[in-house]
Amino acid sequence: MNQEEGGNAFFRLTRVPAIVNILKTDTLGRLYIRPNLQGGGSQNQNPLSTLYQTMRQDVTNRFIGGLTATYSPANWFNLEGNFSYDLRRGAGVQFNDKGFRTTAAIPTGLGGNLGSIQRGTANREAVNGSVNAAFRHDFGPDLRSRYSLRYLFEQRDYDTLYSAGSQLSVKGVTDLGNTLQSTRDTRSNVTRIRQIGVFAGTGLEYKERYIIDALIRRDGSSLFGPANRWATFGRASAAWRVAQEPWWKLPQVSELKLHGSYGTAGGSPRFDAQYETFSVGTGGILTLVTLGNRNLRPELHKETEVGADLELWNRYAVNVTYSHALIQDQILPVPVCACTGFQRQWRNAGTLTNKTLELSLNIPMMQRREFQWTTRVIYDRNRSVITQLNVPPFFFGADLQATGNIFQAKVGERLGTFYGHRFITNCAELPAPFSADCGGPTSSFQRNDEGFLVWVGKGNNPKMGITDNLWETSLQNPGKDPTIAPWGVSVLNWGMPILLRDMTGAARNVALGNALPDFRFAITQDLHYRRLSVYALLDAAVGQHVWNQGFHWAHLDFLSHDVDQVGKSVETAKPIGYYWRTSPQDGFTGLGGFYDQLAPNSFTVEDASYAKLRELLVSYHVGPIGRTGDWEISLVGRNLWTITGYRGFDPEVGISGSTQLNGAGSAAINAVDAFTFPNLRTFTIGLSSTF
Amino acid sequence: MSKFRPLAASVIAFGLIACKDTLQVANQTDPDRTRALGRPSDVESFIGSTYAQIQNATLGGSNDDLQTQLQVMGMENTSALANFAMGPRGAIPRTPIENTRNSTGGDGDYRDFVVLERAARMATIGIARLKVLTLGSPAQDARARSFARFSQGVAFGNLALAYDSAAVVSENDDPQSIVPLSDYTAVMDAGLALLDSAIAIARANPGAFPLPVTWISGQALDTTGYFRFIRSYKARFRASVARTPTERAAADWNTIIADANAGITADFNIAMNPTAGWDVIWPVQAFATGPANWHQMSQFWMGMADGSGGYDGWLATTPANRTPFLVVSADKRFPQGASRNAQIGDTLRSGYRTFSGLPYVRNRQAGEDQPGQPLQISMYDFYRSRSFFTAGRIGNYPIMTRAEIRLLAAEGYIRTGNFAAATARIDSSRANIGGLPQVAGMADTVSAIPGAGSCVPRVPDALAAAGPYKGSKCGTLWDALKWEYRMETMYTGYGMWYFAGRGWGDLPEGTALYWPVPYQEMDTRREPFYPAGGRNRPGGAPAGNYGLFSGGVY
Repeated sequence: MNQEEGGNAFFRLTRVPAIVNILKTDTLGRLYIRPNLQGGGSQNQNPLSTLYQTMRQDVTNRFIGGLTATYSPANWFNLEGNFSYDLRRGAGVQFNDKGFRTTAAIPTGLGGNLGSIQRGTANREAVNGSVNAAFRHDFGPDLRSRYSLRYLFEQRDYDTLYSAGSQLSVKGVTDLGNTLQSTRDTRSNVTRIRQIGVFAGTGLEYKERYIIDALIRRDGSSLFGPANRWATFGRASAAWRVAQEPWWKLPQVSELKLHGSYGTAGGSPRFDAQYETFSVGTGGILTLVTLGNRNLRPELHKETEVGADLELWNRYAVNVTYSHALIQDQILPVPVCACTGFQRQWRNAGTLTNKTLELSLNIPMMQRREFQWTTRVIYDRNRSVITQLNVPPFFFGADLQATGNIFQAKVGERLGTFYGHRFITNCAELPAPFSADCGGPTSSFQRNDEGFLVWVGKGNNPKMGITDNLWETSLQNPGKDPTIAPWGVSVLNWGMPILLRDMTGAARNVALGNALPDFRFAITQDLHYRRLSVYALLDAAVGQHVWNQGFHWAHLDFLSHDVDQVGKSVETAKPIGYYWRTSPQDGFTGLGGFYDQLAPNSFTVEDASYAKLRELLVSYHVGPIGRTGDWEISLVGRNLWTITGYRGFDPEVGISGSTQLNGAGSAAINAVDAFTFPNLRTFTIGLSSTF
Repeated sequence: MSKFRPLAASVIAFGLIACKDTLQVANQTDPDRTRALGRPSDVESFIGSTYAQIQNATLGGSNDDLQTQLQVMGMENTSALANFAMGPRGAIPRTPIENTRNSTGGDGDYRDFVVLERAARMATIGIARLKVLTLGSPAQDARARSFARFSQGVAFGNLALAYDSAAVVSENDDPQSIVPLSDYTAVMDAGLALLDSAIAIARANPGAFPLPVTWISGQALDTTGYFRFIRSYKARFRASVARTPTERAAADWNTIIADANAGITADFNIAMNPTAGWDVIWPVQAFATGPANWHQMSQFWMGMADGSGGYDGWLATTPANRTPFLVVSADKRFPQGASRNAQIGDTLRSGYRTFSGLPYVRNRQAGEDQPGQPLQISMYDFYRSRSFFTAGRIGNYPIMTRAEIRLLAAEGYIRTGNFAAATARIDSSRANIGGLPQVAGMADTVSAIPGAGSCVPRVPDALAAAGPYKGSKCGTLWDALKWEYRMETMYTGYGMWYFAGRGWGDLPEGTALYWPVPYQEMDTRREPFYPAGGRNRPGGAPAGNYGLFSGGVY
């Protein structure tokens, strides 16, 4: 299927009722445009019809080249020069012809749907050059030293161009001149980044047991403000191979290496962060956007890492690494006073603390001459917490609808925590005195069959909705008296889930989960039998959460399977309002159902833990054919199988970019399932040879 | 070793050469002040774009803005959708503007504030540049300076209408400093003074007029037209800034009358074209994704035109059980006919779907009705802008009507006792367009308007036989004025029904009477947030006229 803007087809697929056959055609052989009899506008169209009518082509050309020259006038000195060039050119076109059928009404005289054309290019060119000088010197048989000097220059250019138009004059012509001039939109972007680095490093090794490395670097970048164009970083590390000590008495331990390091590095801001910028809007109208910051400095990463590598019987290997990192001077877009006329200024304004633990275990299960089998297990756990913020706390999010403010930046916040509304499930969440009138068989508030606390009224229970005609009853509190209804809400409808609120009656935004996993693990199996090799990778992420916006949105139009009451009993059946909008307490016309508003809530934020058979590779080493080459054939399958309880297409969701200036810009954090294109199961056949 | 010296020297020299200026990279994508205001013509264009910013802030740019909220809070529109805070802001009973981080409507609350402040700041930047360069002649400089002051004045005026405080920026500020907030009355005073300054500057040196047609799209205003436009703004601002009926009554109505009578003599149209940066954005949603989801006319107000008895029946119905009813009206601005099908078929009158034609509203197809607030949902949609919408929002759009300004004068005349002048202005639309019986000859604000059983408007009667506000009666001259104002200004300018309704006391109980300074702005100032509105809370309207309170009509 064509991607069509990253997932519109998958969105429309979720809008199709289950009884509909989207492959059905009319008497003219055309796919039906709208299989969904409900209203709701152009979004509810047949995804296949849209894809069928859309021509899309994307072509990418890439050239990668490099040159390395080495000069070794002496055995202790080596000089190397590198030059590399990477050019990537992409072009795309999307064409919907005149007569493109949509759900829009076709008024007489306007000619119906007149099609559209989009064309774009995206080019990237990178040039890297470096000169490396390496020196070695042995101070006797036990002490070896090496020294390095390096100079690096890097330049990256990006340019993009986009043009679009609609309302074609002539059918079948893809020239943009075929579109109505007033509909044309043209945009472009050009950026250049230059970086220079000068490095000096040394390494010492004594008796092959004591190893020290140190590096100092001076980096300059065009991305830093003019007053802080250059910055100095460094790293020092040490390792001790304990098992190589003469006093080591455990032959079973063939290697025990303790290592530690401390280093600093810089993080760069985005291209335009230092500049004062206006924007050129439609009609050429200028608007003030970003206040410049000539003092913008790089983010400073300080990391301390300690670890141990253990090897038993020259076979079994265990590696443990712990790192603690401080990322200071976080570059954040800080809103500025509206009186400046500008919207924001990029400033160094926060600190993030990362703690990471990594474990790996390598087990050679069997090592024979013709058969080898090795298993490797890897575990890692990471926590990122905001430990300092020099600006007021703010919300940020992704670009998808209703996701602009679902994360919070504040001191003590674990990065990636989702915020939203919560439907209460235990009596302690109700304010007094209602928490005492809760949980018992005749209490006013009881837990229903789905585990949610609902108001049922004194002497009733959640099973009585139909038998006692209680579903349309309500607790009215027009005066918003907090002694009549919890938090002084103006109305509580019978049997409806209840949102956690504050004492003003407003629904609280609370942490619902975290987009980042509690831990990850992976298991690899590597088998070799004569010429046959098999490799398998199972990797898993556990504990992360995703806001399943597709599932959430499906409740608005009653397209979710859980709205179907078939199979429910009289005691457990629910009215459709149970799944719909929130109540007049929040300004809506619903009864207080799970759709609530279009924003994350505890019903639609899900555990997205998964394990995936990420890769299965089978290869056969053929060898020379006709005395030519050394051939190998392989078959690789990726994303073959997923184990998860997540309800959406794929628990591995997220978008990397964000046009929001205070967006996370990270696919790992922007874990929102808003019909993004799922990961595909792929199969690749490879044939390789050397000559 | 000697063979390494030249090599080492080359490396060092290369590094130094490469370092020098290499890391200075220009931003070729986004302009900055130096390039945007480098030439006199650029400065002139920059100043000329400031009014477009105001248009973008108020009527164009985005539906997640204050105008969408103003429309539902003034009952000019009703929608049950959550988008752009329409549902919460238009809820009955009213809820407060919480103004906390991530609260409902926060983005829209902030948008107008920041864009209007930006427009004012841009005007001051232009004026500051005019102190160091000339555009070519003193007349050209004066024209630009006058226009900058005009934009500044309109920006402050709109800020004062909507927000309880704002920053009064000037070219004498440090542009990167935080200018303290001023109370809305001070902001309005500053705005009015700047509008006077704009007139004075232009009057002293009119040689470069008319204004370029791009400065106010489609309007190459000479000084006469320019002054009329400014004076109309002054009348609008002075009258509409009032938060309460008491404040509105205390306005300087003699000055308002003078400004209105010297104001525009025809609807002030801007030639809209979204691709040129001139837009009225609300039709995008109002006519989008299925009729009546985003927009319906309020049954409460539409019912006042009814002469069939349907309004009385509707008022007498339990509020939660009310359903839309057919408004059979003598007012020609309504679709005519005694049945829904007849009204649906009333589409053949001249200029239908335009601002020059009739009717103003349409009765939509029965299958297009949508549920919502029982007080508000109706069969009727505003339809004068339909042709504008189908033309891709390209064409003239009246952002200020002659009727608005004329009726401000009429209100002033009522308040100052000149009923003859008032009724003449009211009848200009009431009789000549609506086809309703004239009010000429009325000399008080307590007698019922003519029309008997089919009088328009009928208003909810606190002393109705069926119970308070469960029946209606013919309105007074005041009601006739307000009816004309609503009919003639709906969906034209910024918050037309809200600002007027606020000053007349016609907003539902608890409606916020102003917007607090947005929390996003208060964050940048490190000042505490505060809410506004809600029943019996600061900034909340008291019980509204016509029974617009709990226990009244709902």
